[in-house]
Amino acid sequence: MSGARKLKILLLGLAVLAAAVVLAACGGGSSSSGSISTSAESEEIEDWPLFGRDRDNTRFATQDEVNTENVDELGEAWSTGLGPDQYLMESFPLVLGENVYVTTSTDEVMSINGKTGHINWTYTPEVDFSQSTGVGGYGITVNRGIAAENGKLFVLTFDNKLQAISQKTGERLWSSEVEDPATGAYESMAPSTYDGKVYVGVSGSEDGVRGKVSAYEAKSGKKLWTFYTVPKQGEKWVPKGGGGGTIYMPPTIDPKTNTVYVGTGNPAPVIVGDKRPGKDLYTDSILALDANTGKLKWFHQEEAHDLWDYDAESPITLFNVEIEGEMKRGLAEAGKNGLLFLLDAETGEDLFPPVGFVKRHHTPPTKKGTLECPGALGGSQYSPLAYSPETQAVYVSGVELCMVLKVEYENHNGEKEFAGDRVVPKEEEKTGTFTAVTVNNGKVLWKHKMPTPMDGGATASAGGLVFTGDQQGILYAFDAKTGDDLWQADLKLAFGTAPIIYSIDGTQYVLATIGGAALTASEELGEIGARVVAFKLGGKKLPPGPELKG
Amino acid sequence: MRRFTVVLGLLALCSALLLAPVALAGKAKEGWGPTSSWIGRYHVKVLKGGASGVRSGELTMFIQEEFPGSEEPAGILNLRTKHNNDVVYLKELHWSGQARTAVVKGGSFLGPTIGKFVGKMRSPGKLVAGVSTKSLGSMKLSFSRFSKKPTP
Repeated sequence: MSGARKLKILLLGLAVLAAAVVLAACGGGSSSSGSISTSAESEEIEDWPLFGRDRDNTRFATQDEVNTENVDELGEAWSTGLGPDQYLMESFPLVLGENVYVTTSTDEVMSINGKTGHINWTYTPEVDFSQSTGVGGYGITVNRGIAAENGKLFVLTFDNKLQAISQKTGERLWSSEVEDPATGAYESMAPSTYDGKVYVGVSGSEDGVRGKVSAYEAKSGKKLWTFYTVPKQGEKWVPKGGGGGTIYMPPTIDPKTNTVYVGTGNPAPVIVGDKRPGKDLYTDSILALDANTGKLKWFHQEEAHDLWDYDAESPITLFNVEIEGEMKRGLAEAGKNGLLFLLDAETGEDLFPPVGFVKRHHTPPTKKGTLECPGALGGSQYSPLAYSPETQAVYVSGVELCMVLKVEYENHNGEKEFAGDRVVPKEEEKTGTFTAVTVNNGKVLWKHKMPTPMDGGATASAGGLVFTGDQQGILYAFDAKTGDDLWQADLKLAFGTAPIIYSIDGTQYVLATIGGAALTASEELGEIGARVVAFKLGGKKLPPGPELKG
Repeated sequence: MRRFTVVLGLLALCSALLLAPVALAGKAKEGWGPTSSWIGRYHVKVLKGGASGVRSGELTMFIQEEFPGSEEPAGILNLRTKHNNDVVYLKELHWSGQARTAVVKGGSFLGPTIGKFVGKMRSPGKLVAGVSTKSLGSMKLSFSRFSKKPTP
């Protein structure tokens, strides 16, 4: 570790200590694990205890053992397959102590030794996977991970059960149904925990499921409150069979303001808007809710009266930034409409105009069919951003995949009537982008054109690196400041998640969960499977991928 | 005369090869027979659990519309072992008399082919089948329909 870096960490540590004292004095919420920080500019920890590592959901690791100078020495430490017939991997793991906790696309929870890759235990819930629609209407099941608090792990199963299991043994402690599967709702998201509560949503906007965010008591599974994101069917703008505004990724909770931030999905019917007049609130929106009551503090709609399936699907990232001499609490979210939103976290107002990160040209779909960019799969799907306080940049995964959207008044794919039709033309390019945007000015710092759609997100580190993976199965390490492509490893299985970083006994590991996303399967973009691969300095060298052209 | 016979034979062969996909496509649309006889949800009874020890399961049969826009009969088969929930997908459904067959896909309906389903429809809503996948081995399963609706 360099002297300058040590000094920086010491200063950051002092700043956080001061913030913690203020927070404690104000009676602010705290995580019960004792090691969970409230912001990226915080104490050094070795684990990855929350979905995005810290309360701000930055996916910024404070370790710098692996850095821009030595990243070319990164090699495989261990690799573990996740079971027979396991395909797809959208699970974002946690690390608590020496163990990695990961879910499979069929809702198993596994405890894996972070040093060796040995599977300690597997929790296999009994799940009804019979729904014929599933993720995006493909009958696909995925599970995006767990939350942890006080020795308990929390998982949402495809058939809408919130289950608590023992972190130590994998034994089930309680189970609560969060929605009736007969509504068409399913679960794919990881929950969030904070201050004795578990926060969850439901998925299935395409099928007219009514979106909601609920809080449950972590101790017992008792429901505490629910905020519905759209009115009931037949009320206000929601037609019979319609709805939407469902949730796909874990809420981000700010203990300083006791606020739950969450993004919502599209309105239903999806492509056809004539049965749902107006803005269709609160679909395609970022919501700020009171963590204790679920009361709405503010909303920011990214796409009013959406006709393209442009959810605000990816999770919210929080940051502190100085803009024109004034400190601001900001948030970032990459929308499916191909725009990065940088908002004031206290008010929901734009800090800067939204920043485009993929091709954007779209018009209202017609009966004839029109080419729309981004397509209904979105410019960025559920992919979490990474934020580095060192570069003050967020890193955005982009999908370049235009689609012909068509107004059709028929039942499609198990979806409700008037859903419309979506087709990817055969000749259409399927590529991606990876973009760094600085949050203190809303400008693009650097941008790569990627050979495949980028699905799964990014992870940054104090080593000056940002990691991401593509659909060919290539894991990349870029220089966070310049975008230089410093290292690659060809893992042969498509990415559907971002890596995590942890340390055990002073050794830093970069861990990738690979096997592809629902998008990988539906668009036949790469090899699918389910595997966890850990890297460390001096590990087994893997071949790089093809040279990046963009 | 012999040359004429050979030409006729070749023409017949070419016609058969050209028409075969059309005939197969037509059959595939029928799935496992008249729609009402097979669509719905089935309980699975394990008669032989295979190499991984499958213990229980459930099957959902329905008409799947895949993007871009093609309607195909399909199924979702969930098989449980002690430590795994296996969810596999049935595609390319064919039927002839009592026989009901499908290929087994992993991960999604467009995933890799990982096995096969060879069964007999004993009576409407009652099937017995040999199902095999690379990882689970060869199983013998009995299916009984408990709902004609493919959704919960």
